[in-house]
Amino acid sequence: MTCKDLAERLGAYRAGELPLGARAALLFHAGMCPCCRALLSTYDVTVALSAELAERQVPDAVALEFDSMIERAMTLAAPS
Amino acid sequence: MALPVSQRYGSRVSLPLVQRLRSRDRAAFTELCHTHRDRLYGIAWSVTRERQEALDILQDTLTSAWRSIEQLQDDTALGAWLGQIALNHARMRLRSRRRKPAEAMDDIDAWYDDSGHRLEQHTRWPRADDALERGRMAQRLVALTQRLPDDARELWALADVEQLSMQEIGVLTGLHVANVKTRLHRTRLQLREWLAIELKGAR
Repeated sequence: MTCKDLAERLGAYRAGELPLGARAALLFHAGMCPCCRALLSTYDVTVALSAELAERQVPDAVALEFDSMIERAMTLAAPS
Repeated sequence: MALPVSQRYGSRVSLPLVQRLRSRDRAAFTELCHTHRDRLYGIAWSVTRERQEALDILQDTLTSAWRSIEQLQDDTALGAWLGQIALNHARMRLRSRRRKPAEAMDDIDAWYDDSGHRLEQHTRWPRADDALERGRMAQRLVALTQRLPDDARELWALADVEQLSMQEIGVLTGLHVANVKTRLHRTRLQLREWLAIELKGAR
């Protein structure tokens, strides 16, 4: 396995979808290659940072106004 | 707690609800909207990252849904139907506000030599343990996503921010799940690459 192979298979590896042999080859390569170990770690950081960008809950404005929004929708929308 | 995918998107809803909706039963529509409220807002917000715009998209989604409700089929998966309407409105908003064209994503081949070895070596990033530093990195990441083509940014938003499953994204976008996975991985690699360059420049 090359560094490029590892980069291409990293998504499947992190999703737990790599077959056993390919997974072993990836881990063997990473064990020998500091560059690819850095890729693994920084890829994970990138994905983790993205997850932190989610809104934890619907804003109050939505919760408070939602029934009015539904009413407005039914008023605004003429039947097709 | 989030509903399982089968209930949100894949399953056939009970016929009476569809029939009530088709006959413009206002209580049924209200029930439907409440069931999917959080998910619809999540789609709108993660794709646009603008709260007011997400609220407008939510309103547009409800309005479009009510307008076309008589066209529902008995076997329509209502969560997917509403989600697709929300995503379409979010796409329209993004298209209308984009001021500069997206950049082309790098060709992965350009990062490696002919034998598959990385040309510029990856290095580990400094640990960002405190919330402030992580917050700064996250905001840098958001800025970098503006450089992505809209379809790539959309997949990133739905999968990595909103945490929808690959199956859900496939239903919403009409892409095969394998295609979603490939494109998402490619987008993550690109964002990682751009973030690495930024962090290197900031040192």
